Amino acid sequence: MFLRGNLPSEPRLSYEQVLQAHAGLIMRVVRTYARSSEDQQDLLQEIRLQVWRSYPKYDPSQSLSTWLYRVSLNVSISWLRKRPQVQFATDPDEIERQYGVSVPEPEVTMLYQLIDSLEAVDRTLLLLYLEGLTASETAEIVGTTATNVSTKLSRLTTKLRNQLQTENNPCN
Amino acid sequence: MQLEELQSAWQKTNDRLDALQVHSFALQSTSSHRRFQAETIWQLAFAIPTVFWSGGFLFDNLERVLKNPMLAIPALLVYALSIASIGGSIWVLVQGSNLDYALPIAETQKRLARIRAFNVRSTRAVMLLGIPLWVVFPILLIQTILGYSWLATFDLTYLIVNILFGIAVSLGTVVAAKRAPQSSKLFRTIDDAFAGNAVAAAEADLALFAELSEEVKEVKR
Repeated sequence: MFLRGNLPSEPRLSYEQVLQAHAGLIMRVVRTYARSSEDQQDLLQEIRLQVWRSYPKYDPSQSLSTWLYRVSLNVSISWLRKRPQVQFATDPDEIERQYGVSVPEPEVTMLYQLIDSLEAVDRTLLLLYLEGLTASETAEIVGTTATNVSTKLSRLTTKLRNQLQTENNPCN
Repeated sequence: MQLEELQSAWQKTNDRLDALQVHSFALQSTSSHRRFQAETIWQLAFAIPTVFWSGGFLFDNLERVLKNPMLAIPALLVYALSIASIGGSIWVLVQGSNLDYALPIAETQKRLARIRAFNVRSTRAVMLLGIPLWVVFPILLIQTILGYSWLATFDLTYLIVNILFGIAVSLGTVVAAKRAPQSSKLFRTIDDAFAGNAVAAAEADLALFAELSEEVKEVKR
């Protein structure tokens, strides 16, 4: 799952090739932090610009996906701070653009509501957890220890479980 | 619903959206430009002409202000305030453009929070000092447009009374903003600046990210 960086003998990818090869990773980060298609475009442009600025300094011995996660998450956290509260889409076309279908499944809607209820750092941890990264891979991106990530993730998942239980059994 | 189901919902939605959006991602223009630190650039756009303006004003009236140095105080204050504002804005711009977004999140966000806290504090200081000095602006404006120097005919009492009036108006605005922060965007901004909400938010971020990165240093020791 976690992509390793280019080997030193491999030719260095161009900026456009990096974006092409990791478009999915960047879009998943964008979808975690921005909801409307207009906001997603705005955030995407910010990330593209920062990747373009930072790429000349990229060290190919480092994992490219770790580097891209850092850049795109740093931009997204800063972007989210300047935004007001997320507005949920009601227009059918906008719903389709956000979820890929006109009527999203209840678990998909619930997932995005949970994501939107989280603070920027918890959102990062949840995204990396959903992406299947290990605690040490997450720690490398966030800049903390694997133990700290495990502790924070454990608290976060407990909180999410409780939220899910409340959603499933609103009478309790 | 369990967490594992969330993971599969995440995968399902992303697979669906990746198929729809990756193509449009590839077609987008690369010539986008960011609204990079627009607020700081606006501050600079205001402060730089003000420096030339107040400096020119002092220079043009050098003979008069040398005879009566007290008359130079308002223009000197505006000049000093603008220089300080330019210095602060340049520091924010340089720090912002040197920021490495490829560093670990805790490190980059810690540096960003430091810049934000400085920015909020300096804006507050400029607002606090700038509002009572409003009286000098019409004097400078008339001097610039009509070439008529009010400094020559104005007495010092008039200036002091106007400055005191400016202080009273700014205090009144702060009190009104505190009582009804939701009534307008301007009041909300003033209330945030003076109540320290924005500084508190930046400092909370700073503490959170410092805590995250400190743990790495502890382990390395």
